Amino acid sequence: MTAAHVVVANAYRDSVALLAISSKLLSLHGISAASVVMATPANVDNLVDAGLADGLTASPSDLVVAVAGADGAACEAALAAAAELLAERPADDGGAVAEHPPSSIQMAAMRDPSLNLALISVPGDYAAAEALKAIKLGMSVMIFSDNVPVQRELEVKRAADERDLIVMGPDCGTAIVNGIPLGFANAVRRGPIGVVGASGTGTQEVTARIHELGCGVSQAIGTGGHDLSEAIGGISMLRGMRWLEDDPDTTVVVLVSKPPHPTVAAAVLAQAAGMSTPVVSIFLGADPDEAAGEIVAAGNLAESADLAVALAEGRPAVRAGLDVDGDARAPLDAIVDAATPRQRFVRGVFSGGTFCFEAQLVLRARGFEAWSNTPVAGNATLADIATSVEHTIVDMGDDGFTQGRPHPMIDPGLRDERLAQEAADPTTALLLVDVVLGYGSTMDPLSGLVGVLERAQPAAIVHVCGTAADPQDRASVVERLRSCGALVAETNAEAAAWAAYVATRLAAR
Amino acid sequence: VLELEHALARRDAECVASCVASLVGLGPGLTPSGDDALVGLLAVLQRLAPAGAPWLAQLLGPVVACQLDRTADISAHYLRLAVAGHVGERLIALCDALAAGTDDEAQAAAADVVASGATSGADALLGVLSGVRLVAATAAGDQAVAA
Repeated sequence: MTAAHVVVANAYRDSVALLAISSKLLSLHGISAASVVMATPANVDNLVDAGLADGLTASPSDLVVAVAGADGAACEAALAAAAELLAERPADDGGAVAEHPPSSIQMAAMRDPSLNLALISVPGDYAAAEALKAIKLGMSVMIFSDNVPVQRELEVKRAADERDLIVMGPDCGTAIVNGIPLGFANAVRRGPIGVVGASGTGTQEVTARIHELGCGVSQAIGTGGHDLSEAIGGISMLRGMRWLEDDPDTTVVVLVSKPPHPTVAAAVLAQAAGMSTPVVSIFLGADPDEAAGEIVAAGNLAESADLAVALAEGRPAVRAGLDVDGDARAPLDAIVDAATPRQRFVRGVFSGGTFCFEAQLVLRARGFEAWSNTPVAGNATLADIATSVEHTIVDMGDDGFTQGRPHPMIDPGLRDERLAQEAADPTTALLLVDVVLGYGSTMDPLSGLVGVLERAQPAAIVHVCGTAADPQDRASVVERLRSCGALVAETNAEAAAWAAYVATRLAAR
Repeated sequence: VLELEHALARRDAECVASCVASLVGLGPGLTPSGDDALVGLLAVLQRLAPAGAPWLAQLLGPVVACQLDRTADISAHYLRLAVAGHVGERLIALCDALAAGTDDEAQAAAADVVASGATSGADALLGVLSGVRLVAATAAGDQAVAA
């Protein structure tokens, strides 16, 4: 029986690693005792008492490996094995044992100078400062944070523009860069269509639709919701358009936004006119028939994808419109026939802000005013966002609902509660709902929703934004929704058009 | 730990000091087991001791503070914070549940504590247990005196 020990000065491994190494040493042939502990006086005393560490001197922050075994060779082999195990760095999720992750943008840049994009998600007060650091290191930036003052946004965007870099954001929730989804984004195959989007869920609807139509996306560049304001002047959208024009993999460009400020719209139009790449636009709320210049204007989000795919495949870009045709009418007529006289109203409960906006526009264009917490022009603001009146379409992802709560795309609990509330209202004739799939969104979008829909007296029309490649699997989500009686539309605009059809027939009773 | 508990109960400062000296830095782990138990004990004594018995924490805290050179830097830091009244969220939740929660809440909080670290959570729970017994005994003693 012999013993041996080794002291590793100032070595820190977490307890799991220390225990794992101890038990590995014990399993070695010829080893009868093994201890890997911090060399505190109490532990050293114990080791010495046990005859494992004669003559050991160490300080409390040292690590001591002590073994006892059949002979010197076994002990030496065990100590060598310990040295090897201590030197090991786990390849992936080694927790505290892994290499310290970079704690600043500069540190990351020093480790890998080829980095050229920083994703920033810190409280809004600090986001601009972090973005400027990244820009000065030659990186483009995606700022997930919101609540960045306009003046700071302008400063950051100008600094980037001077260096031929782009700022995606602030408040940029969605981008797909070189095929990699960032933030809330869907699994979309790569292809010839480049997207520049000021709206996160709008970009998701367009890119997911492109994928479902069998085409693909080269890049989806987010700009943040304020980019097309007069103050910012569309700096990021204009740069995104230039980059996509120069990108050999992009043959069609889609712009997604609410209507830009007129001066910005003029700049965007002028730039589009000078591009060899055709440009499709969906400016939600603008009349596509009034679009000027070289831009192919779409009437809704999904239609912009349809037009872009047609152009990419060499077909003419013809707008299909949103008429509810014969086949679609039967189940909608059934809803109307089953409605009691008191059931008169459409209640839209959305997790995607742009879906809420677009649904209001579609209903508005068909003569229906709705109340909302985020009303479009012509609609009225709810006095109490918790209480629906008449036709109501709410965005559960807006600040009024998300203070201190996760966004409903991450945790649909609040959205489901609101749906249950609407379902219990005897005046509700129809629920209008979106389900947003993809990275960033909840992996379980349905369990609460299905509970409501199965109990719900009023019918439900649901739009599922996502692709077959998304981690939540669009097909099984759609099937589950249909199994509990919901009508599932192909697009958000179609869902809203269906709702408008039902509302029209209910009003005519 | 049991010896320390008895020494605290009879306010035997000398014995408390020698028990702490042998516990600090004792055992496996980056934060040795003895240190974890002391953190658990300190948390209970500071948060749950009846108003009449702040002396429990006052007796133990300074003794621990004197022995910090006997353990590794990281663990010494945890002990230093614990002496100053700062412990992990899970331990705080457990103390709160023990003070004002139901049995189920206390059980769930204890399970959370045990789940932390490799053995640190279980070691801390040993200290918590010891502390709860001390606090209960002290409260019973106070009642006897009052009667």
